Amino acid sequence: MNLRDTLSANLTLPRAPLAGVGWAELADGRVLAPIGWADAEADADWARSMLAGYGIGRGDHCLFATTGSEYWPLQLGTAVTRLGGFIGNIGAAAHEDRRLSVYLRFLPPKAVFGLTEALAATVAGSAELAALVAKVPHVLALPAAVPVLAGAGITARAISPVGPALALPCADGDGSHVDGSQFSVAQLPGTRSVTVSTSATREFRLAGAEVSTRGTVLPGCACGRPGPALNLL
Amino acid sequence: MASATARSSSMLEPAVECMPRAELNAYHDDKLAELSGLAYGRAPLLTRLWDEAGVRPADINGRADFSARVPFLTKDMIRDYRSAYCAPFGGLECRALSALDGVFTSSGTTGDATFFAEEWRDGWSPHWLGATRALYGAGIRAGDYMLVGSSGMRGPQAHLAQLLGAIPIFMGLTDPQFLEVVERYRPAFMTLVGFTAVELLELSKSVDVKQVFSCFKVIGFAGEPLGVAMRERFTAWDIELLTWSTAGDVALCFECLEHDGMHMWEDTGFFEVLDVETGAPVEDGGVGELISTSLCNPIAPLARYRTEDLVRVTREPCACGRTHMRQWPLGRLGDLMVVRGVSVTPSEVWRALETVPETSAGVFQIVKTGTRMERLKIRVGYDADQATDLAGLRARVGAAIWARLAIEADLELVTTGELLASSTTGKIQRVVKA
Repeated sequence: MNLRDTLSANLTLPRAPLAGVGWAELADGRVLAPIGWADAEADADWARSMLAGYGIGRGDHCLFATTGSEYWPLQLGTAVTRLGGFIGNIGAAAHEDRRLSVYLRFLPPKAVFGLTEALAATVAGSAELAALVAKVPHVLALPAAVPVLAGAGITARAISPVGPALALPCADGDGSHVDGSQFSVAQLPGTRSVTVSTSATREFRLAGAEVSTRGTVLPGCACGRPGPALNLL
Repeated sequence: MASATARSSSMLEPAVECMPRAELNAYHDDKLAELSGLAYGRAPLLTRLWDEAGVRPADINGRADFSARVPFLTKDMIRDYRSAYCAPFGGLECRALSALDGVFTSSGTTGDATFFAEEWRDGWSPHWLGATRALYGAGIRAGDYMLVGSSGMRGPQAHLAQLLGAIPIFMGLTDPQFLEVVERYRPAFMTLVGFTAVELLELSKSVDVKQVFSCFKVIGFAGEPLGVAMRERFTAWDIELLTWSTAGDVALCFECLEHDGMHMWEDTGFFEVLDVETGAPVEDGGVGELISTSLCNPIAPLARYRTEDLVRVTREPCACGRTHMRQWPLGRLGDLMVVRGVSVTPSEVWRALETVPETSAGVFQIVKTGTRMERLKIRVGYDADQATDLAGLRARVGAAIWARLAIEADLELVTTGELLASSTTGKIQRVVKA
């Protein structure tokens, strides 16, 4: 009764062989990227350690702007709840400003993840909304949205899928990090093109595949965390 | 679609889903008393309302006391309290923010969106947990693929798939690789909303929808009632729809494979249907306003919440064997209007527009200037690929409205694409202010 037994009933069902099927944006197109259960656990654990650096903990609100068709918000959302925080959700479209405003006014988040260029443009066009976003301690936006927000006086850092991986900025350094236990990244010489390889344990494997996201692989990050770091701007 | 005989109609929780009415009644008596103790003294708005009504938890020993004594709660009260006190949950909060795992929102169609607070159970969203009974009953099984990209508005829909042992694919109908994914993974379930149903109509111009969708066991349809003509199209495409909706904002309700109303899981909520004019309980089969009370939300429970949803319900057991109440949504209270003495509802306008091929997708908005109006103004979406003579189309639409309502309408013709693009909530808002 009352959903408690529903969960018990669900947990008796056979578990699916995969946690899900996401996407990897490669330079020559988008491909399906199956996600194993061990992949999902590793992704959530890594995100948890990264978000802990932001001081996200019990009672902290983290707001996500998503299309609903992406895997990374599930990865980060799982990490937030494991840290004791809670998630909110809005769409990624320009017209999501109304829902964004409601969250910002009544449930101010500690961090906002995934603001798109379109939504950032709406924010930049509204002094009231821009002032609310500016009060958010940590704004993590897609790379194209960062300069748009900067134009409205909002400091944002870049977050982005990099092929099947996620580049997530640390709280105290200058790079956007990729989980080095699962992925490696490299720079194509003389370009801002980036290649990604996956570990042999991942369900979806790549070896030196050029991804659509562009950036610069950094020699390291001031935060001292292991693994690759990128400048996505 | 996969054949019905190939599907199991078994239940995830037969003892709960087929619980005898007397046991459900006893359960409600216990839970309503428990809720009263939980909410009073903690939820500031509920406490204030109950104090004003002279009600104490000790007065509530079951359904009869609850319905007779507990005052109503409205969305405006919640919004007003939220604005006055900057209280995110509008004075319904019974727990600290540290108890939360997720906070999601209503669509905000009629004003500022309101929040739904969730405390997850072992990492699983109760919103999607509540939907697993319906999908299991519809034959979704471990190893099936489900498309989960239709919306993130109510939190991670991937949970719904994973709880069933199914595999979520992060994409929706409008994704450019939709056809490729369907061909490769042969998914068993996805959800359409009003918008995406219109997209499907577009897709049908270039692909064999019947063939593409043959792998789906069922397809969820949510967001608003489906028009008769569109439902007939789905039937012709051999697509079995499982209509679902909110059960008074406290849980989800789904059709079963009998397609005879949407089951409202009464272990998650207590539902009343009251006469709009008198407030008296409406017998099964009658039309009234749905009043809902949360029985599974210790964070910010709704208690006797006036949903403004006009519904018909029955507590008669369904042919599927389930005993929980079923509802048929009929519209919103605010959508009722009188034009020159004639009662007009969006569903009447919809039925008229469906008779005209170019407007049969049912994309329209009534421009409302008041509850009583002298003129009926309708913004009508038409299929630009079909319409060649707009003056002729205007005349035929006008005639269809007249035939249905005996009212002459002022028509503003726009393409369906333009009208859909004007939405700011992801829903087609059927009644808009002038």
